[in-house]
Amino acid sequence: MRTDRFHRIFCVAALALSAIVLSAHLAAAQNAAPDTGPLALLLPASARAAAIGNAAVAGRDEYAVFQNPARLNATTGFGMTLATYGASTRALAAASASTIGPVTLGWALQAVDFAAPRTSTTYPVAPASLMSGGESDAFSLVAMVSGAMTYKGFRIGTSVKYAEDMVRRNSTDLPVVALPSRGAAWLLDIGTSHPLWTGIAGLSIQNVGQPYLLRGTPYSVPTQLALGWSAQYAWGPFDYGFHTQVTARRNGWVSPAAGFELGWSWIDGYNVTVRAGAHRTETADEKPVGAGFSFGADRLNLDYGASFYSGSQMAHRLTVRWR
Amino acid sequence: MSMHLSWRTTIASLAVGLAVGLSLAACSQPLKFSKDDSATVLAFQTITAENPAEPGAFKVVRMFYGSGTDKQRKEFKDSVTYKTKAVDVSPYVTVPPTAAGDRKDFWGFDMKAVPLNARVWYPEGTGPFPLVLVVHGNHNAEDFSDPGYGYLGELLASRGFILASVDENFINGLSGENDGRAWLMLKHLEQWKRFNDSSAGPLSHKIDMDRIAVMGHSRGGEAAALAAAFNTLKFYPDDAKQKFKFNFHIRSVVAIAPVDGQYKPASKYTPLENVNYLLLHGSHDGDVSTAVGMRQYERLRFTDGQEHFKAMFFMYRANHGQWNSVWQNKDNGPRSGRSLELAALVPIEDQRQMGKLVISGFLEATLHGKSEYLPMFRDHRTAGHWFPKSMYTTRFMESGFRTLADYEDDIDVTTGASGVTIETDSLATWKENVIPFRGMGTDDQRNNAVWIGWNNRIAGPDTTKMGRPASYTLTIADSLVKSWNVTDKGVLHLSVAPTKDKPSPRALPKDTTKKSDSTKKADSLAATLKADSAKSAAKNPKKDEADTIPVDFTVELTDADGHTARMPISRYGAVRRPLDVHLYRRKGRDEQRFTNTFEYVPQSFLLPLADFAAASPEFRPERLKSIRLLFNKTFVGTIILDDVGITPSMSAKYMAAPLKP
Repeated sequence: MRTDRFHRIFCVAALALSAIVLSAHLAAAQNAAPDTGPLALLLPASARAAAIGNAAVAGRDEYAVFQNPARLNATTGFGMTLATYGASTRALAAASASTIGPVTLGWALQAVDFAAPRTSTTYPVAPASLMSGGESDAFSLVAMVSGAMTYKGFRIGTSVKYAEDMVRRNSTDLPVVALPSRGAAWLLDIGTSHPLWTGIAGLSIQNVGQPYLLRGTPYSVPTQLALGWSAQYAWGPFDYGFHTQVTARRNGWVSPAAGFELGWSWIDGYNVTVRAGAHRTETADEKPVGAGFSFGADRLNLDYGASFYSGSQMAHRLTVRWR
Repeated sequence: MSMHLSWRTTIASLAVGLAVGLSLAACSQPLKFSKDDSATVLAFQTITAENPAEPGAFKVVRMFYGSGTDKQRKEFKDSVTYKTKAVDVSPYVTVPPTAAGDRKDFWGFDMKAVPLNARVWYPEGTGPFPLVLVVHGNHNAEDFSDPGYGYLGELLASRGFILASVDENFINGLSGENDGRAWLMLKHLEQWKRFNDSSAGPLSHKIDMDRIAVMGHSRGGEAAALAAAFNTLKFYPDDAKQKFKFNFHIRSVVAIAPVDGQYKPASKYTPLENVNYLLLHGSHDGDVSTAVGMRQYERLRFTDGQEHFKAMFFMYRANHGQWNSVWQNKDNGPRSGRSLELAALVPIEDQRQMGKLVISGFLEATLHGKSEYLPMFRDHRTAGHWFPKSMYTTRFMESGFRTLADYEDDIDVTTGASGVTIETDSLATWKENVIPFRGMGTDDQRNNAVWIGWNNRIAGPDTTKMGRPASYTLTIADSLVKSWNVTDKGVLHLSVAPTKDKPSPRALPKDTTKKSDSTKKADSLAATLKADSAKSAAKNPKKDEADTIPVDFTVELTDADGHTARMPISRYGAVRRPLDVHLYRRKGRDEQRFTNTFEYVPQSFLLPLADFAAASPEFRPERLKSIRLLFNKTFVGTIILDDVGITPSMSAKYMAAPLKP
């Protein structure tokens, strides 16, 4: 049995690592994803998610609500993430959950303050564009409320989202007071999860809603289906976990993703974890790999995650979580 | 670029700074132990028999019996000497439906057809040899527990016992199943009867079915007691459709760090009668962290007029798992080192040596009839050289015990058993209560006792001024002593657990001008005490340091003619303050988890009445009238007192190898 278990873990590890390599390979030969927005829907919301290739549909923390409302953490917690892309983009994401009876309730938001290119052909903005900035002040937001509960062994959850992009007209072009252009959409997520083999499988349908209008032009929202599996194991003094995910957009774009975590705790309640992951990115300017680390002390967790972009540029995320 | 560098630097500095700061703030606590007195306490060795922890003369033979089809263990598939039939344990064991499939896939069977597997160590010879079954407790079902008692098997078989370590791994990971564990032990005994009755096989007619012991560890410890209780029943208490027909001659039960009350027959804690009982528990048990086996110890009753005894050994710095060579020091699972302070534990070899010593000694005494080992259960100092270096709190009671006060019957603090009255003098604390466990919550020992606190110091600026020594006196009706036929072979029993409580000095007497004769006598004694106490106070100027001073007091017996005799309690054992236990590495974790960082384990003291008669020849034990605890040795302290009683005429074999410290 112990041999069987080792064999099983070895197979899973091999599969997960293969998925990471495959994701990176696919990313290298990819076409850019069809344009969708608002931008805040396309960005990883937490340092951990960024580090594991955003393969978090079966993951579990407050931020899981960005991927799968069914994985809303059943323990009360709060997290806040600060992110920076290049010199001109800052992002803030926050998420919280608490349990009331059989129901777990949560809320989350992500706000991105960035500079958009002036020309209309560059909208919607891809994540990689944040590194180069632009001339127009812009702002993107997604905010949601979520609920989850367990029914007949299945964890089910739903979120209602509000998402918008707002682009301020460049005041140097127009002598009059600049007026912002806003495009907003109300969206719905539904998800489920269930134990599978030695881990958890998660399935989520995200961003169900109508296209939104910006300056009179309709833009698609990234309606997508995500299917993934995550598992955590012990290996001697270490904890390690695998996260896999395949995301399929309604417009046919498919993104595989996988991530790996290795943690070590030297005393009860304290741990350090390193992470790496890969996924097919929206554009070729965004590198497929991510990496990060975290430090946990009892109820406090600090996560750092990095994403990589062409020109040796990096986006940094720092998440503080309190449980 | 400079912006990137700055941002990176900021994040890295913040993360590293926080990590280092929090790591430092979360330092593990330093090792904390009670002062080790083992060099003094274990300095004696009055038992002259050979050490029962040493191998005996028999050549050891090993074998397996079982299904012959086991999917996971080759030894129970290919190497069984006897093939056994599967039994249906499902009336006693429930597997959650969500787990049933996986468990059946792994084991190849469900609860309706579980195997009777065991690994056996037996002596080469014609026998008949006493039979001992040992069963493990709950543990990772796939990390098989039954091989973990091989060290006991090798020892006991060499000393003329058959030891079978029963496989119950397949019910590990369930809950409320200890009745199933017990029932399986009895089904194994049925199997052993067949082995013995069979005309063929290596154990044919070599098994002494009149001398059986059942032993268990953790949940197995509760199961062992349950097996002894079920053994005499005709029906399963929770469903009389299940008939029992066992009635084996189970003479002895050994419980190693047992749980208690996980299964309650008919919703009652398991009653137990008329067996010898040995309980082992470690102070640093990271699994069964409260010594709940003491409840079973308390519940054991001797009602058949036969000779039995019960004993407990509470080993300081012993854990839960080191008595099983598979479990080792992983009381909290494979990552125990993260949470438990493993450096606080006694070496594995020492813990097993202690297990070998007391288990072998107990089985030699109760199954082989080797009474030369009985004194080590009365007072472990009689075998001080055999015990590994540690501190042991021990309990002992034999079937001749007659209760003077056990504090269970009523709420009147001035009465003991029928015919016994209680009075006190100058006590600061006098109350009866249930003895708590150290764990959080309301779980307690289900055993009441009396709290006696005193402070002989008189309040005021003169810290050497002492009053009359406080005392606690039990007066016994003449008729009771007469009906019990107390003799000079009698023994006084006291169970004492000092606490850390220190009452405040006494208020000044209201009138010091009129002195009665008794007060004059007391003043004289107080003057003697004053000098000792002054020395003690000078040595111990800080309040907390007084806690390390061992408690001592005088036991004064008076006969009906008014003749008194006194002995110090410390002559009959170590009267220790509670032993500090810090299980966890993280500072503050013990305080979060436990109400107290110690367990109250009352130490048994057996005081031969002959010693009093020798000290004061006029004193006549057969006319015993009163027992007075006179707190004239340690000027301040609090003790928990329980199980005050007398064995009117103690068998000499218990009192052999007397100690003269």
